[in-house]
Amino acid sequence: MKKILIASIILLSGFLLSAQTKKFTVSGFVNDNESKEPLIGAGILASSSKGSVTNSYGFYSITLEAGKHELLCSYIGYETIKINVDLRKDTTIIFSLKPGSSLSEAVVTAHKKAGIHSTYMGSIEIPVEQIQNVPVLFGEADIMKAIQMMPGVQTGMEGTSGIYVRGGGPDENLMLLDGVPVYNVDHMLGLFSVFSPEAVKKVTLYKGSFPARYSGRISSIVDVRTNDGNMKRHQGVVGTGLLSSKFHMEGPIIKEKTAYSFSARGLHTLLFAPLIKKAGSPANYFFYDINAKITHRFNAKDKISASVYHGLDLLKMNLNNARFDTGEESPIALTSTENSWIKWGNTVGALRWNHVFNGKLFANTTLAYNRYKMNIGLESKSNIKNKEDNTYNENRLKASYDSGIRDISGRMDFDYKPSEKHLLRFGGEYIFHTFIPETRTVREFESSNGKTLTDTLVNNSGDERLYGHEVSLYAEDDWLIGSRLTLNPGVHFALFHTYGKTYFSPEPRFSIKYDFGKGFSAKAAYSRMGQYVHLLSSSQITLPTDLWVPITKNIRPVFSNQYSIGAYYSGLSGWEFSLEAYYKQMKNILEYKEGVIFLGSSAKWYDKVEMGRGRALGLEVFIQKTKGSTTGWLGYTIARSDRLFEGINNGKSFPYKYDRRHSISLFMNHKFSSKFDIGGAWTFSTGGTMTVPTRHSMASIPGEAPERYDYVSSRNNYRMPPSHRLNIGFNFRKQKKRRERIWNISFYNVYNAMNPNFIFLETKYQPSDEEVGHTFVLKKVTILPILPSFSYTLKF
Amino acid sequence: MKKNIFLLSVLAVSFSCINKIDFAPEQIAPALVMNSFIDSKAEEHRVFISISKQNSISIPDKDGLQVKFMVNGKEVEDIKQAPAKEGGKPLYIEYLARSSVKPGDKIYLEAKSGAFHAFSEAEVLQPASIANVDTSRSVRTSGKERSVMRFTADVIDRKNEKNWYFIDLVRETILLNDKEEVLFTETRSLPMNFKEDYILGTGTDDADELLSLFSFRKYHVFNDNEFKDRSHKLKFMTSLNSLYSIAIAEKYKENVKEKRIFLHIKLYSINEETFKYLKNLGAATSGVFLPSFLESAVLGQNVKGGLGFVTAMTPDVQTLSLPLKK
Repeated sequence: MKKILIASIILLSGFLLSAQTKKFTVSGFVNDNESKEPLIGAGILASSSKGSVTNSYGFYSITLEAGKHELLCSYIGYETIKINVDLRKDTTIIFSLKPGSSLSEAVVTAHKKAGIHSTYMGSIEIPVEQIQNVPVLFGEADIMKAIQMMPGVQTGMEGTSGIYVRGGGPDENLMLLDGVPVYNVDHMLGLFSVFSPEAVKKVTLYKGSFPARYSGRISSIVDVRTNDGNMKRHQGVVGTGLLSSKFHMEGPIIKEKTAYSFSARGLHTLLFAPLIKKAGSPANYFFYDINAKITHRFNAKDKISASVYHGLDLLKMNLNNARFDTGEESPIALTSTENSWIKWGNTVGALRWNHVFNGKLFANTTLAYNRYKMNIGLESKSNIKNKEDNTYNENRLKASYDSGIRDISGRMDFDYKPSEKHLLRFGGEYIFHTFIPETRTVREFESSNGKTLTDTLVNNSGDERLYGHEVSLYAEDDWLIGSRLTLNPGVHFALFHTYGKTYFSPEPRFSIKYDFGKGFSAKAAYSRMGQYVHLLSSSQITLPTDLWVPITKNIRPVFSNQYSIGAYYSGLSGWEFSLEAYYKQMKNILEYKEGVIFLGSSAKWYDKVEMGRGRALGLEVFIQKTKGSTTGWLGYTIARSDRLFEGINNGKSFPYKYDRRHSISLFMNHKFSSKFDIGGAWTFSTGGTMTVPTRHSMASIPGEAPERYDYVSSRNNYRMPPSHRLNIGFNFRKQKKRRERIWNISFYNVYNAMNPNFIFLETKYQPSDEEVGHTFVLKKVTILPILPSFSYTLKF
Repeated sequence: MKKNIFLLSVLAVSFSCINKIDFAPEQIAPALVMNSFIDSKAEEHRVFISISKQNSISIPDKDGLQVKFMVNGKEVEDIKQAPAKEGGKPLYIEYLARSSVKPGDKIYLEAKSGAFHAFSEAEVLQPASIANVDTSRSVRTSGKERSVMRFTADVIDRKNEKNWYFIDLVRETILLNDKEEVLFTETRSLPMNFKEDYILGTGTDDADELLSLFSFRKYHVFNDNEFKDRSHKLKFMTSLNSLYSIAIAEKYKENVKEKRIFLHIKLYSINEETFKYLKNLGAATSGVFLPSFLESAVLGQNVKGGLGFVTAMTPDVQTLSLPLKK
């Protein structure tokens, strides 16, 4: 309670420190001159060295003393604008920046508060241009794959898009699409993520000091912002690759007032489904994504937008009209049909209203709906006819398994800039969660000569629908003390009510930055994060059967305390250097009990898991080149993560399965000309850990003789071999009037490193005269060797 | 060129490789394994001795092996080796102790063979209490394999202490000839579906369970969290197939006149160590190793100087006679 009081006092003090001299506020938006798309994180710098940066909606506010000022507005990839103002009253200025001809010609000189320049630690902004240049599997640009290359981020299984941040688990990352959580961000068992880069404007990863406005997961926040749409002209992208095709279109509905943005992407098997069926294939798998957004600007103060995302994966098998007749001589004829499917996907809808109350106060209101749903179904029918006596038997089976989660939420965020030294952000959110952990329905029908033998209907709901109410309030202040010291104190209060129990958790946040000058700076931070939902998953790949469940009476919320310090240098034009160290404690994290598999029933899932503690510490180095014909980054992480559970591993601490000691990622993109560029990405990481038997022994069996078994000394007692891989992509660009075509040829895993996707154990029987011998043989399955791919993209 | 790239890509995608990983677990010295589940109501107490090696199981030198069975600090008998089973390479040497033990007795087991010396201590645990065992009608779902017989039984919790329990459904089969002489007897623990299953997932068939009705497992343990100091009705079922399916050896087939099947519903009060052991036993002995999907079980050991698990319990048994099926 004391901590909360201190935090509140710090926040309130901001209001009391308003300036005494006559001051006015310059506020407005920064947007793209050609499309009027708001630019997030653009810098505005006054001649007095006071600066501001645009928020997630392109809004900025800067308070200056009355008089003449020169204002400089800049953004990566855009030409910098300088204007002179004579401030005599609060003024609104909308900056429309003209795109530079290329990223390499970008001029980044303005005062900048984003990325390593912000007060927050462990926050990385990943430009979409770079995401599109990172060569990845099948040449499909992927946001999550680019995030995997950031220091402190580990991957799960080779080639998949899951992320494990600073020793955390796969369900500890909050994926926000325009501020709305997306529960399942993977397609095709994790080989693709749901975020279509064409629809995305900005991606920010937070992994260290979390701004107080974010909560709900303990390890990272991935904030993905999508395009509003071009307000001035229609433009689009069509593209096709080895596996999927995409389409993006945006443009004005009412010029400079209303714009739309629409993106669709689908696996080729969706487009050719009728052909696949015609070719006689009983099975098909496809996924698709649709992103749509409409934005309307009423005036300089009000903007409203409505967005929808819908994605679906479907795997189906139709064995229709299969006939097994053993011939005319056979007395039996059997006909059967069987249809089975598994489908899963997200639907996210959001309605957003931006309102500028005045130059100092900006508000965003969001109403959102999101749903993740999975359904497995089976319908079979068979008839057995005895030709001799004309008797027949009929069997019918209809089974269905459903699970999912649905949220309805409302959120308000305010940005308030009372003075040039403070930027207060505060707001609140309410989320109504509905968890559908499992509903199984099985109906079996059996008849003989029309007489019913069996008609059984089993409706087995593992649990009833579960409801959760989550309320949160937050406040934080970007507080500039003098010209070198910046603080960001904040607090997030969260309340979660479920199973008749209410959990309340204050989550204080604090970060401090000191600017030594000449590009050197240092930061320190503390963050406490809470999490109220868990993903039940025991595999390294994303399975549709993975299930989100809430905390319960006995399964308490997960909390993390993260302490971090860092040193930064940005004095060399176009370069950024950072060194960050962190120590993270995790409490009430879940781990499956020994021997538990989660591919099926979630009934009493809380009895399948253990609650325990985790610890992670590490050091991250990140060197980024943002200017010039060669851009890219080098990231290195040395880390350690372990777990302690009373009921697992006999109560002893053990390494986390994604405890990878060293990780290196190197990405370089070189632009030879406006027509040709090459991107290369090399990654290396120490293998994770797994549990393997180390000897043979005999297990005591009650009432019976003992059984031979593979003796396991401790959990995660084996470190897997390291993984490394080089991907290279070549882009051949041709600019024509009002359109550009890009041929991309990519090579995934150029030197064909045999990285493991799965590991399994074989026990070979090797008897001798006196002994029963078995040798353990560990084998890896590599399903992603060198994979060339190509794609064609046309921008118009 | 484009065609070539396409063909190459299709080939690459359809190609996956399986390679051996250099796997060299630390060199492990052989260890003596001693196992025993002592049932105080049984006439014999079986003790099993093996040698565990990195890549094999063997037995110690029979002549040099010494096994001690002590009750309350006294070596109550000179326990003897049981006759070796026929066929196959032996995985263990079995010893039989015939001394009676009672709840509260302290049992000390020791095995010595050459350089090996292993021992374990166990207290015979107090009995549990089970009552009102009953069956309800069998439920036919689809085919005989999936038809089940349901059971109910009351467990009465021992007051003022934390309790753990183990329930076992044991089928005893007796084959008689026309002179009512016993030809063959067999006792077998049956897998069951247990509604109060506190060890959900210890089996390996969860994946199969997804769209089916029931799954059956062994080694069901639970605690008294939900019925502290009072009684609780347990519900469980087993498949008719496992109840009645008896493989009769050819040599008896001709002479079998009568089959008798008894079901012993045994409830044991166990300690936490045994609870954890049994909880992981199904998974540890399943032989399934899928690290990408399933966490392997670390089976607790309580034998000092070696490996293995020794415990001593007292069951409360209720017996049902099954309707005869010939």
